[in-house]
Amino acid sequence: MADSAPADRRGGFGRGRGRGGRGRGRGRRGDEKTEWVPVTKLGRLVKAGKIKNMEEIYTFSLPVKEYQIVDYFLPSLKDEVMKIMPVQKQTRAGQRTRFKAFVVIGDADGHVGLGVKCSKEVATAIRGAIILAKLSVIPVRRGYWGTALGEPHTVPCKVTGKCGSAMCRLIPAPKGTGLVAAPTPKKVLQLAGITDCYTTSRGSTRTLGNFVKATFAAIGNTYGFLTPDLWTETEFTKGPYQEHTDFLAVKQRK
Amino acid sequence: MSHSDTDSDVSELDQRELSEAITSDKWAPQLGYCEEPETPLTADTYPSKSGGKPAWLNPEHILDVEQTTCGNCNEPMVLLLQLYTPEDEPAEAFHRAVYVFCCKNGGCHKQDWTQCFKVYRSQLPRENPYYPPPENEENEDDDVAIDFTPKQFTKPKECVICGVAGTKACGKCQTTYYCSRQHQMVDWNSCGHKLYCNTNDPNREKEETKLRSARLFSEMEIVSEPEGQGEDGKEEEEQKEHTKKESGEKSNETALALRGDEAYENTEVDVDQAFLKFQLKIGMYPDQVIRYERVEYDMPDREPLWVQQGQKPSLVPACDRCGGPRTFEFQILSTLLNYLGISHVADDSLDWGALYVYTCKHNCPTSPDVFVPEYLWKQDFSAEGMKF
Repeated sequence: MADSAPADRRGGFGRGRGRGGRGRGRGRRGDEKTEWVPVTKLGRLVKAGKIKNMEEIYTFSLPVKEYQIVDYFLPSLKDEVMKIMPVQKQTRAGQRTRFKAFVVIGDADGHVGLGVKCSKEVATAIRGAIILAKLSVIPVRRGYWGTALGEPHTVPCKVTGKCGSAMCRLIPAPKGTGLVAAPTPKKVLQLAGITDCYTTSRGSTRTLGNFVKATFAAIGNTYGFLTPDLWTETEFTKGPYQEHTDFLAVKQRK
Repeated sequence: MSHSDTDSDVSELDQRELSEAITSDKWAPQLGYCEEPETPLTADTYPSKSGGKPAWLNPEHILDVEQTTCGNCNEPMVLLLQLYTPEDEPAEAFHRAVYVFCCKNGGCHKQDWTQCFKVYRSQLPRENPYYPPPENEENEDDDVAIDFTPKQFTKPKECVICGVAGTKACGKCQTTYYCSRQHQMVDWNSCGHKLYCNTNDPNREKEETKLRSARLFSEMEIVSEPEGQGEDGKEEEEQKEHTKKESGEKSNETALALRGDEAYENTEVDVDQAFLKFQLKIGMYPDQVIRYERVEYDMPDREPLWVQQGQKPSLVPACDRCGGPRTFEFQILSTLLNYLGISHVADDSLDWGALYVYTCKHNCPTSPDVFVPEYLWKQDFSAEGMKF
């Protein structure tokens, strides 16, 4: 059943029987899974090593369509399945059940992602959600509550995020406070790498999907907030697609 | 998929698509992969290859540079790939090849990509003056002497750079042929002809071929295999069989109930449905470069595997020879760009999502010409990423 194509078709394009081209070499079976063949231009640049880190992709807001790019830069991402929710749809023959998986992924050092996927099998839903979570990884800005001593440990300012009716507010906390939050946002904040934080929430926080998305939005807003130390004007740098053009132009002239 | 489907779930196919997914195994597309050539890719081996110079099916009549000039920059194009796609019917398409030419200048593609690609179809009947008819499988035991003498003709001169008709010659040595002034300049300045013209240097051949082939795309052979179900597909099938056996006749009606508001507060993920479907298919065999859909006769006209929802061809023009419709034959994926040996760093480097080639459905006869132009459509990836 595996090779379900007609038996007399091996290699070759076209409909002429038994002619036109050979099949693949047999020796290559082993590395089929490990080799990543990039599909998008960004993927090709990443594979060639032209992009140094994830932050370059964030600076130029380049859309990431291949999760292997995120794997390449952040190999130490840990995923956490928040919930598997069965959802049903009414059909003529009864109800059709599918499973919705919520997965939060993060490296506990400034990157966090959230993925939601619905599928007929639980394993497929989790696998798909992990991939979507990797594609949605965003940077987390951390700051200080008081004196800028040691590493940043909390959110830089009060940020809030809302999804549906669930609202989540993050407030800076002094070192050693820990995460004062409900279990759901606590897991997300842990994976984001925020060590101390006060939280407040409102609305229907029982709807886990919306609550997690609200926390995720709040964390995402940390880099969207203009604080006084960002008041200095930034010099725009060339994007990764443009950076090397001059270098190449010189090279080709030789 | 309409926007009311907010779960972005690819496996939620409606009944028609579901049955199509099951029966599509009969018409599973042929996938093409790039590999290092095992034997030299000459015309008598009927190769399918990417890059390099074209291996002309019809050795007597080859393309002119006017037919392979970019409409934007007026530079000659290079061969992107050629596929050998033999047919059993009609009889004049026993040998059939499709050539795709592409402008190497990425800037032209950004400007107006419709001028940067040219597709040509060429075919020969079984009895032709150039190649002996292949042995019939039934007559393997009989020692039938094949009475074939190839036609004697003057082999047309090919441009040493790109392989199309070389109508111009080097003014100095008169033995090196070019298709156009641009290629003559390139050979003189960058490929060492300035040094080697009229010399008998022993390194000449090696150096010149190396420099000249650097002007084209890297030459690779395209091998093919039908699309199977992939590793995950097999696993899922087994899982489904297993759960069906376990649960037996028990229906799930009473097991799970809708929980209050949760069913209605659905989270939305704003990703292009077509792209998700594309990724799923590609994920099974990630290094494929070609998807060839015309695998059987009398199969319905298939839609290609789109890479985004928008940017679809509005109207594929009919064949200019016979007036018949053009249908989708094969698509070239962006994974081919990894095998061409070009740089991807510049802003205007060559890039596409997928190239869809539409050819005459009935393979109408090409005479009196040898090459018939066909239609190509390009789709880019949508510029959106994940949105929350």
